[in-house]
Amino acid sequence: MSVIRNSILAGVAVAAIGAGIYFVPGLLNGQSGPKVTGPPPPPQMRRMTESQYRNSVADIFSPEIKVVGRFEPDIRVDGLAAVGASEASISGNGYEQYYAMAGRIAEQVVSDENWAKYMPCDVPAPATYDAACAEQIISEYGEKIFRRDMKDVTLAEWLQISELAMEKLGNFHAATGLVLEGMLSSPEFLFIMDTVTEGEDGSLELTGHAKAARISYFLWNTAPDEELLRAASAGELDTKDGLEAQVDRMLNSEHVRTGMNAFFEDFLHLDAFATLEKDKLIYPAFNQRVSEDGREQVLRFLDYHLLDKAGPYTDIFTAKETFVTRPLGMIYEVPVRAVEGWEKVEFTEDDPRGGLLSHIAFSALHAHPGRSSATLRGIAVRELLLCQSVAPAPAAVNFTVVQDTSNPEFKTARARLTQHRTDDACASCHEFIDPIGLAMENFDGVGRLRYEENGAVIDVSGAFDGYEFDNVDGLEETLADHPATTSCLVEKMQKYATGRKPQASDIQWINRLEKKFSRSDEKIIPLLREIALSDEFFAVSAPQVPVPDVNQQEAATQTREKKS
Amino acid sequence: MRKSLLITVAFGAAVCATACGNSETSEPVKASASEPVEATLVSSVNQDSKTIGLAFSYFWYDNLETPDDCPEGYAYALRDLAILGLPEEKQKYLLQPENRSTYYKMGYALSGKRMREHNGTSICNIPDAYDDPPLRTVQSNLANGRDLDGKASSGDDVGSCGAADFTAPDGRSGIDNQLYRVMGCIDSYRRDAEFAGGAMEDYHVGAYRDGEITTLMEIRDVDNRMNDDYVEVGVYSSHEPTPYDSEKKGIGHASLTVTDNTLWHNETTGRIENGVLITEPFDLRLKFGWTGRPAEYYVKDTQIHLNLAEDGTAEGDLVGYFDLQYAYWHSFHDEQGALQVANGYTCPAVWDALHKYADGYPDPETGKCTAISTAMKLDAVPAFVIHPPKEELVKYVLDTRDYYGVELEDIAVEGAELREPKGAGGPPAAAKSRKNPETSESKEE
Repeated sequence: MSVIRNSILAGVAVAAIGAGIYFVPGLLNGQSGPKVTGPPPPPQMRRMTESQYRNSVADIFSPEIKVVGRFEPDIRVDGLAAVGASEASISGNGYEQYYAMAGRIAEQVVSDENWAKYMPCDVPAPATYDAACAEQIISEYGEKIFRRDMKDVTLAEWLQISELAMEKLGNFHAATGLVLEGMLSSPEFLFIMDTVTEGEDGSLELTGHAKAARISYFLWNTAPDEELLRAASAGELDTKDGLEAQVDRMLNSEHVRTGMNAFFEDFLHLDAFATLEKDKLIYPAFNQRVSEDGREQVLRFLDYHLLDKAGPYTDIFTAKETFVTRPLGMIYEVPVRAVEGWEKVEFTEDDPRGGLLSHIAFSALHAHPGRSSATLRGIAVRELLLCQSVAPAPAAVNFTVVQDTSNPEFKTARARLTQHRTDDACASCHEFIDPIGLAMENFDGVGRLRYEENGAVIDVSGAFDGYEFDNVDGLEETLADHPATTSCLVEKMQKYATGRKPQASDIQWINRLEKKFSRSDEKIIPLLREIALSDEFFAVSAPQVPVPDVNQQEAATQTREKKS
Repeated sequence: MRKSLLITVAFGAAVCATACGNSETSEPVKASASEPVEATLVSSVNQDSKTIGLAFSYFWYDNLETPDDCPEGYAYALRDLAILGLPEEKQKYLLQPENRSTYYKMGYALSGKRMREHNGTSICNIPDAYDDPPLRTVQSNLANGRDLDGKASSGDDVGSCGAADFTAPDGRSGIDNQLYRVMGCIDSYRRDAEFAGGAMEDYHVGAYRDGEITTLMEIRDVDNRMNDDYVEVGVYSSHEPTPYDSEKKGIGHASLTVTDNTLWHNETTGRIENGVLITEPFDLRLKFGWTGRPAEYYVKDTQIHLNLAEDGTAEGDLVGYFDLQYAYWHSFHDEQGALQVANGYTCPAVWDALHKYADGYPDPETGKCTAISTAMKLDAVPAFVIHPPKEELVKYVLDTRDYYGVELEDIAVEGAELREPKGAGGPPAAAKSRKNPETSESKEE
C-alpha cells in the first residue's frame, strides 16, 4: 500500500475552496490567528442523559433497581449529545415520564424486602415517625441524589416534606418513599447543576460537590461515589493534591470504562444503532442481535486498544484485533467457537478488516438500508473523526443513478458516483467526501467484506487532503497520520467534558491539551487526566448578560393579569 | 495459545485452514461476556490447505413425480379404510369437499378404535396386528437416484431381494431407490396430491428451518476445490439451529457446534472432480426429529455427490441403503395415529411394503433384505463447523424401546450408553402415558 504525504493543509485548502464547505480544523488549536482569551463560561445545568440517569440510580441505590420508562431524546449540538444536554430542557410529557420513573424507583427502594438492604435505619413500627432516622436517610441519599451538601436549608426542607408525608400517609416507609420520589423527580437530580460560591472580588468558584459531579460524570458517567463526596465535603477537591488523588483513583478504577464508553458512544453517534434498519432480503444475516452486538463490539474494541493495551488513539485505525459474537461472525464471516459471549479475532496484515472503519459501527451505521454509501461514510469520517463540516446536499438533486445498484452501465459505487458528479451541483461536495467513502467500498451495506460489486472489481484507491492510498488500510493509515484526527479527538473530548461549545477562553486550553496529548503518545488516560485536572475544567464566571432577579410568583401573576 | 485459522472469503465459503476448533487439535473454548477467548487469527487470503464447512439447508427425498406413477390411485389412509365398506354413493358423498371433515373424523375414529383394541399401544408398534390392503406403490420405472450396487436388476437376482431397479430420467439404468417406490404413491409424500400434498416434505424440511434438526458437513484437507484426489469428509448432527431468512433460504457463515454424541459423528474420505465432491461409501447415522420424534437417519453405504459452488453453497444428493427399521421409524412411525389418518398410509401397509421392496443388506440366515435403497436431495450453505472439546464427547443412543415397542437388541449400539430422549428429539408426551396401559384404559373409560 502506498501512502504519500503531501502538504496536508494545502490539500485541505484546495478541497475546501469552492466546495461550499465549512472547514474548521486549526481554528481552535492556535495554528493561525491571534491568541484570543475571554472570561470563563457561566455556570451550567446539563440534563442527565439516559445512561447517566441509569448509572446514577444503579450507583446510588443498586443495579438491582429497575429503571423502566422513556427518556427525553438526546439533542446533539456541535456533534455531541453532551453539548446538547446543556441546551436541553424537559417537556411536560417528558417530565411525566421522569416523575413516573422516580415513583417506581422509590417504590422498589422502600419496599419491605429492600428496606433493610438500602436504608441505614428503621422504625420499630411503620406508624412510628423517627425524625433522626428520617434525617439520616435524607442526608445520606440527598447528598448522592443532589450531588450537594445537604446541610442547612436543604436538609431542613426535605425533613419538613418527610414530616408532612408521614402526616398524610401514616407510614414511615411510605413517607420515605415519597421523599425519595420527590428527590428523584427534582430538577436538582434531573439536571447536573453547577453550584458556586462567590469570592470577595465577585469571582465565582464551583463548590466541591459541583466539582465532584463534573469529574464523576466526565470520568465515570455516573453520580459521585461516597469517597468523592467525602473529598468534596472535606474541601480536598479545592487543593491540587486532593484533586489529583481523586482523579487518579477514578482513572485507576474499572468504572473509567463506563465513562469512556459514554464518550465514544457520543463521539461515534452510536445512538443511531437504536434505529438502524437493514433490508432483510438483501442482508438476511443482519438482525437485532447483530445491531446490539455491533454497538458493543466497537466499545470493546476501543476499550481493548485504548485502555487495556493503553495504545495511542491512532491505533484504532490500524488495529487488527477486534471482538466478535456468533451473530457478528456471520457478518464478518469468521468462525466463533463460543456459543454465547465474545471472542477475540485478529485479522492478518493483508486483511482490510480490523480497524475502526471496518467495524459495523462504522460501515453499517453509515450506509443505507439496502446498499453501502460512500457518501455517508465519507461524511462520517469528515465530521465525526476529523471534526470537519460538510454542507448539506442542495435541494432537488437527482439521485437516480446513485440509487440504482442494478444498472449494468454503472456496476460499482464509484461508477455511479462518477456519473452523479457530472451534475455540477453535486460535484464539489462529492469530490470532498467520496474518495474517503469509496475506499470503504470493500464493505457492503452491513459491513461484509467484498471485493466485487455486480461482478466488477471494486476500486478502493483514492486520495484526500494530499494523501493517496490504495485501499481502506491506506485510508486508515492516512487518518492515523492526519493531524486533524488527534486534534478532533481532543476538541471533542474537551467539549464532552465541559458540555459546551468551545469558547474563546478555551482556545489556549485546547491548544495545551493537544500538545500534552501528543507528548503522551496520544494515549487516552493521560488526556482524561489532563482535562480533569485543568483549572479550565472547573472555571466559571458570572454570566456576561445580567440575569434579572425575578420573583416567579409575581411574574406568573403579572402574566395572568396581562392575559386577562 | 494462538490458533491459526485461515478463511477464504473470496469464494464466499466458510473455510478454515485447520478445523474450526477440532477436538483433536484445539484448546477448549471458555468464552464469557467479560473474558473473551484469546485471539483467533483470521485472513481473507486464499490458502493452500483448507477445510470447507457446510450446513444442510434442505434435505429431503429426491422424489420424481410423474403422472404414470400411481395408475391405481394413491395409497389408502385410515380415513379411506374407514369408508371402504360403505356403498359407493356414500363414499362419493363423504369425499366431497364439504363433507370431508366427516370423512376425516371417521378415520380418527378408526385410529382410536384400533388403539383401544390394543390397550392404547400405537398400531405402528405392532404393524402385524392388522391386515390392511397392500400399499399402492410406484408402478413407473423412472426415478431419481444412483446405482448403488453396480447392477441393473430386474428383481430376479438374489441380492436385490426381488426389487426391480429404476431408470433415471437421464437414461442411467440400475437406479436403486426402492424407498421411492414405497412412498411415491402416498399423497403426503408427493407435492401434487390433492389431500396432503407436500405435507411430509414440509414437516421434514420445516424441522431444519425450525432449528429442530441441524446437519453439518466438513470437507477437510482440500488442496484444490475443483479437483482433489483425496479429501476427508465429516457429517455431523448439531443441536444448534441453522439460520434461515424470511424466504426460507439458509443463511451462510453461521458458527455451529457439532453434537457431543459421537454416534452422530460420521467420517469418510472422498475426492473432488470438476468441483463435485464424491465420497467413498460410509455408514451414516444422524439425529433427526420432527415435532419431537426421536428419529434417526441410519443409511448404510452412503454416498454423497455435492456440487461445490463458488459462492460457498453446495447442492447434490445423498444415496444409500436406509436400514429398514430406521426407515420405518424415521419416515412413517406414527405414535398417536393422526398421520395414518391425514397423511395417506397405514403402518401395517407400509411395514409390509418396506419389507417387500427392501433391496439391500440381505440377512445371511434368512436371505431377506434388511435395508432399502434411497436417494435424497440436499442443499447446503457455508458454515463454520465448530467441534466440541474432546473431553466433552460422549456416545449414547436414545432409549426408544417404549416409543417404538422394541427390544434393547433392536436399538443397542456397541459402546453407547442408553439415554432417555428428552427435549428436542424426545418423544411426545403421549409416549409416557402409553407406558402404563392401565392409565390409557382408564382415560378411555
